[in-house]
Amino acid sequence: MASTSNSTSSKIITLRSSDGEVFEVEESVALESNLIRRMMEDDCANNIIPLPNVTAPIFYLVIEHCKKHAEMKDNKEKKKELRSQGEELLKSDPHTYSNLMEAVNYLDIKSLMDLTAQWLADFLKGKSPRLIRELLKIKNDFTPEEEAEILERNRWAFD
Amino acid sequence: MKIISSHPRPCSLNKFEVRDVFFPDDVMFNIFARLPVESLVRFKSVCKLWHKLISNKYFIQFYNDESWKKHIVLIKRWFGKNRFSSEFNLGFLDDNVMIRASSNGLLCCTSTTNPKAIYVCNPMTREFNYNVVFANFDPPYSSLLPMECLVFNSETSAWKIFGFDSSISQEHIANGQNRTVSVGRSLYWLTMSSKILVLDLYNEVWKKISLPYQIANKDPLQYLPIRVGRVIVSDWNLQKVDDSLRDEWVLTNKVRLASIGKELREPTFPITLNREFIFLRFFGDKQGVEKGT
Repeated sequence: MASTSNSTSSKIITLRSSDGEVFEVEESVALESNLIRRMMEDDCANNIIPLPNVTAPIFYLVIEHCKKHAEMKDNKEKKKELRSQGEELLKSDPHTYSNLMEAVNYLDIKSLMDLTAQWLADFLKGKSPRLIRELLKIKNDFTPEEEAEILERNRWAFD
Repeated sequence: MKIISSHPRPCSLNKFEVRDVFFPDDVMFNIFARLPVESLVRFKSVCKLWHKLISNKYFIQFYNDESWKKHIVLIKRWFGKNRFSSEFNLGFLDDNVMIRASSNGLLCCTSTTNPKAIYVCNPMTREFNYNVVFANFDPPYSSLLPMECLVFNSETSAWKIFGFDSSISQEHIANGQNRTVSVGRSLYWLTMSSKILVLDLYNEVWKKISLPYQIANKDPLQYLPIRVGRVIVSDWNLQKVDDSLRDEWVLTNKVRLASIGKELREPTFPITLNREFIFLRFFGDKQGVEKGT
């Protein structure tokens, strides 16, 4: 996908984001999304495909990462690089991460799903529950007693 | 990609509403499944939703299935002068070995020629040397409880003691005929009262399960040398049984041992198993063999 040599001859798919922006994407890139693939199989291909759950900036990010992912195939260095970018994004802008992940999930893009899930897993691993709550703005809805009980029961994992 | 509209590309995405990072359950499962078990256990205390997701039966099953491929729990099984620890040659290892432990299709063997050599090998793929999590369980020969199970975690480099809790403290492990068995992330023992004692290492709970009704009334010491969690050897038949989430036994396969080989002697097999295979051992030619079930 996203290969430049074929781009002139490959079919172009037109997509519209929730905020009305229109994108022209090579078919090979668009078909990374199982959602779009299903829509095309259902004969929406001749029209503009609406993506009511994805905003333009997020869709832009999705496309960027689809391309990066295609480039890094068989390139371990790039793979590492892409994997390490998640930490940065999650630290600086968890909401964009969240939106990106939601879009990837909605568009059903397996390669990016693996990547973005790995990002969060890498980010979480080794962090304390308190820090995670703080960073991801998750509310601690346990009572102090409940929390103490969970800690007590699982103390080995905290040592 | 060509962008048709003429809006300038926004540099910052922060205009979006600030809200919690929250995803559908299956997305969270996908993320959690990539974490080591210690992290997961810790994250149970993040919030109620995470606690619920991580404790979810479906997720635990999924996680165990995945970790089956990654983690190995190995049970120490030192026999001393026990006749069943006799030496044999695995063929692909250029050494004579004694099997010391087995788990999930792997064997841990010590060399009989070099006292320092320990092999962990997969008789199926003929590969050896793996990263291994060691577990140690030494039932005292008086067979009287209390006993405890020691599990070594290679990720934390720490031993953890699992003491029996009161609900199962009445059980006596059936000695001699019985060995510790590891399947996935659980350890299994046969008790004198024809129950199977289970230590679920993932949830850190002890459980007791009943034997399948087909064989529940038989003398366990004579007819039920249970070696592996889901395999029961009985009446010279090899039966593969699954305990589902509902704690029911389902007979999934049945093989007459006589059809495998005359040399089979009942107390010597199976050695170990994985998803597809049960590894048996013939006495006659001292070879490790594998048999699909």
